[in-house]
Amino acid sequence: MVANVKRPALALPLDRWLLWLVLMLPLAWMTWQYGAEGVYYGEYLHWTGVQSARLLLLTLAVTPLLRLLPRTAAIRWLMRRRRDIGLVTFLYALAHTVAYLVRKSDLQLIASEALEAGMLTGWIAFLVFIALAVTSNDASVRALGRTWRSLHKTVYMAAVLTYLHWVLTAFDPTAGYVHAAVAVVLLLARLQGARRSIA
Amino acid sequence: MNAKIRLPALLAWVLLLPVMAQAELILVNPNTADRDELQALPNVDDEIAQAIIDGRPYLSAVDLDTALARLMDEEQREALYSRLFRPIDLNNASEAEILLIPGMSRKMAHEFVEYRPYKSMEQFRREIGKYVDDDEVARLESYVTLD
Repeated sequence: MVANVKRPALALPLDRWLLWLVLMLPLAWMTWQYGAEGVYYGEYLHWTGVQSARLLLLTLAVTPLLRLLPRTAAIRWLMRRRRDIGLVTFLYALAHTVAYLVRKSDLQLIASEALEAGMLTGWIAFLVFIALAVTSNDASVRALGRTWRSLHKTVYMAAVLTYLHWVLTAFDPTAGYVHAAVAVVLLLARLQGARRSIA
Repeated sequence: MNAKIRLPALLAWVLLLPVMAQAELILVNPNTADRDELQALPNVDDEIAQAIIDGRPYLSAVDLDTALARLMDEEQREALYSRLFRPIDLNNASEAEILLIPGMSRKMAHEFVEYRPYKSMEQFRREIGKYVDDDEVARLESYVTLD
């Protein structure tokens, strides 16, 4: 007979700890470097933005990859940890946004810049990411029921806005276009998968 | 030319090339250049050299541009600014001043302003070096100062 031992709240599986460690260490290092002026504002802003956009691609890629390779252990593991990767993506976006806000530190200037298309897309995407991050836990899944699924499908809209923000604000938008193209392919693969499930 | 002379000459040319390339980046300051220096610049004749001297001191690149606009067209002035320029203060220059740097785009002018305040030239090199190669950063650096 197996004893029914309740696991303490912080006793997360080792792989989950490791995943968080691996994904958060670079952000912690860069943030420390930025604080110590080893990395400059533009470099930090660019790096956090790019990493956030790449992690977002990874979260979007999980479902299509699982459809493509359903028996692959690594993909199944990624599927289990997708919510964690999504949260880390949000933390990179948060660091990106906080660096910008601290640097500008003028509400009027921030508000006027927010009206420009490149910044507006970024702000709307960030607000969606806040809603997704706040509800990325079991309690929210239970409390929101079917609404949770609908809410979390807005990640695709947020992704489109994120890549638009990149393309519209970058000095050279080429990398932004490449990431946007990958996101569109993933979105189409997701839509095709959804249609098949309905049929 | 025999081989004994040709080889050292070639070597000297190769060694001097980087120095000559560097020398191209040195801009003449309109506030301090003498008449001979000014007359050696492209599109500058006696009248223009005298006008530059008479218009001193130039507190900004816009001041210089305003003075020269009466005597030269935009194309001539842009050619001149590749050799003569009133360096701009990175932290305080207006966008109009930054746009006077030859080859400057509105996008790049925006990046110049975006990363203020600059505490060092190293910061300028790294921030702008994200967008253009080292030669272009060095060229742009020759137009700016940190006061």
